[in-house]
Amino acid sequence: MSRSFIGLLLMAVLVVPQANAVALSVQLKDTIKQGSGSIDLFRAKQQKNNLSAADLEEMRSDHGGSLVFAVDVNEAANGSEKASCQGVAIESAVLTIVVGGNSFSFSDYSTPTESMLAKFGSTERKLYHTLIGQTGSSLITPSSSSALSGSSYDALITMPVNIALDNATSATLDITLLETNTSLGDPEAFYDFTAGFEDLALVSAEDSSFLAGLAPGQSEAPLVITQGQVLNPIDSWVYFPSSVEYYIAAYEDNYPAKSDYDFNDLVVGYRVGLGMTADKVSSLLIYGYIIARGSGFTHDWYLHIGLPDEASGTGMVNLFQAGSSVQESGYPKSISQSGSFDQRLLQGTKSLMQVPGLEFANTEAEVSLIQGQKFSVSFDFDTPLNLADIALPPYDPYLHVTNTGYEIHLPEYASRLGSSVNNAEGVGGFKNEQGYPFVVIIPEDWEPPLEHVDLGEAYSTFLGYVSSSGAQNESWYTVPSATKIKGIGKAFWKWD
Amino acid sequence: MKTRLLFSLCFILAGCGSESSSSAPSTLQSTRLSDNNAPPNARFEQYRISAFELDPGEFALTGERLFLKVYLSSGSVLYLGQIDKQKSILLPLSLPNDEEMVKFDLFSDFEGDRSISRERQL
Repeated sequence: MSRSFIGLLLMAVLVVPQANAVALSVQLKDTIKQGSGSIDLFRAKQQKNNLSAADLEEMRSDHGGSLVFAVDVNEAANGSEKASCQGVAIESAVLTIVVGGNSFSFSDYSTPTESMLAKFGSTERKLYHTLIGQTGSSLITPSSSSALSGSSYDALITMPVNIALDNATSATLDITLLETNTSLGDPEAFYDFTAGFEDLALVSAEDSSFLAGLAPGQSEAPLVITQGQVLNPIDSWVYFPSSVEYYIAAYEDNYPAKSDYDFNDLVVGYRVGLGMTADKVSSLLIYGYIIARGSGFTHDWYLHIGLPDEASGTGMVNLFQAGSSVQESGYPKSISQSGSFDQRLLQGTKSLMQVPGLEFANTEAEVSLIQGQKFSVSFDFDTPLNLADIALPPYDPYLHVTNTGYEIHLPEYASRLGSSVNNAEGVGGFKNEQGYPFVVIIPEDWEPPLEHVDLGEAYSTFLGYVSSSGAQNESWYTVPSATKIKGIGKAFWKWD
Repeated sequence: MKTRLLFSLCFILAGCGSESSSSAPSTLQSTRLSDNNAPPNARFEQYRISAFELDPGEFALTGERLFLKVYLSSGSVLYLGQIDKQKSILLPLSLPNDEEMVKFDLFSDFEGDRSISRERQL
């Protein structure tokens, strides 16, 4: 009996410490401010979570001889930065450990991503480790007992430490972010740092592998040079019309009849990025916003991008509530597609963009502006495609008018919806009796005419452009009659 | 494939060129669309496709990893990323009709290489 009891006691002594040895992530008190930080690893954000030297050693062992930090990237939008994708670059990071009165420094570190960047005052680019993330989300960590659970940490810094930390009396991470030459635009503008502080945490192996797999914000950051942790690496992006600008599709929806030519029945902004691996297109990103809706009809809005028959892939469609990172009911939606990309990205525009008590949104004078929903699509091809095999932009952004049953395309395209009233319409159609199209694609500086104001009245040089085959008045959309348009402003409708 | 893209782009550019050399605008009744029929040569497109081609071999860069940034004078980025040092790159760019120039930077991860920054008329 007594021998068995001693045996049980011995087992308990052996088992209990192992149960406690599971390292949990801890948020640290110090932060990176104004581009630099001196982070005391013994001070947790909540004092009760302060780490001991033994805790640090557990963390180090947990990661096979490294300390791993998670960073909450918290930046203002510059370059192509936005809430869903933002970044900074690290100029230096030095970990100083004091053990038994001796100081040890560790300056080797890695992050999942790098970029070629020019430092402030220089135009020469060098390779720097970067930290990429997003705001406005709750990236729940898998361990609910972790101090990070429910927080929004993004990127990881891994620092190899080849000494035991059980007896450390001091452990400080000094980190300096790179001040980039933002005058060069992206990628430098994207990876700049602002006054906004960056939180840090020491993370467990469980949380670090979760964040590495999540790779928040990485899919759209410019010039990401991955270190093999991103599932679908991208070497380069080609952007249409650019990384920050949108095509504006402005519709007259009373097809086939001639109507008031205000081209504000539905106004949608969209842009497309093709992600390339080597010289093949491996993924597709689409972003867009509803800008205005000046119609009694309701519509569904589609984007069709011509692809080879053998193309296939899967992706996700997001539809965010106006000014919010919260998605509309039913979103995100998984999609899969073979052949051309052709997806309904907005369903029921009248219920989506609505001012209570009013028929229209953002097309009437003396009525307050509202922001519209934002949509995005990420799509990965099963097999990368040749760039030359993808249709040219601005593609085929088309409308199905629910009330009339007609679909409306650019004249260069044919009908696509088998169920529409005009499902036999071929290429060259989609013009009215006066020879005008029902949709025009315009750069984003354009503002929609007010309700029932003819486009040519709001922009007096538009017809000069049209009738000169584009040889004259090329910038017609930048010189409106101020009293004839609804000044929405791209900074307003492009709310993220 | 490159040849096919180039052919497509040339066809499109040729089409654009023939349109821009058409006759002078006809007399308009007013600036309103509703008062005027669209002329047969009407152009409604505000964007054109322009081919951007670059042979990295023309530039004496030592680094094995080459990067290209193509952008407008406004700073808006049209292409950004790594390119194959051994191959020419051909990109279709979608430019507003009043944009005639693009800029590009070519650089490598080799510290001894100087970045190359040029402009190109398209």
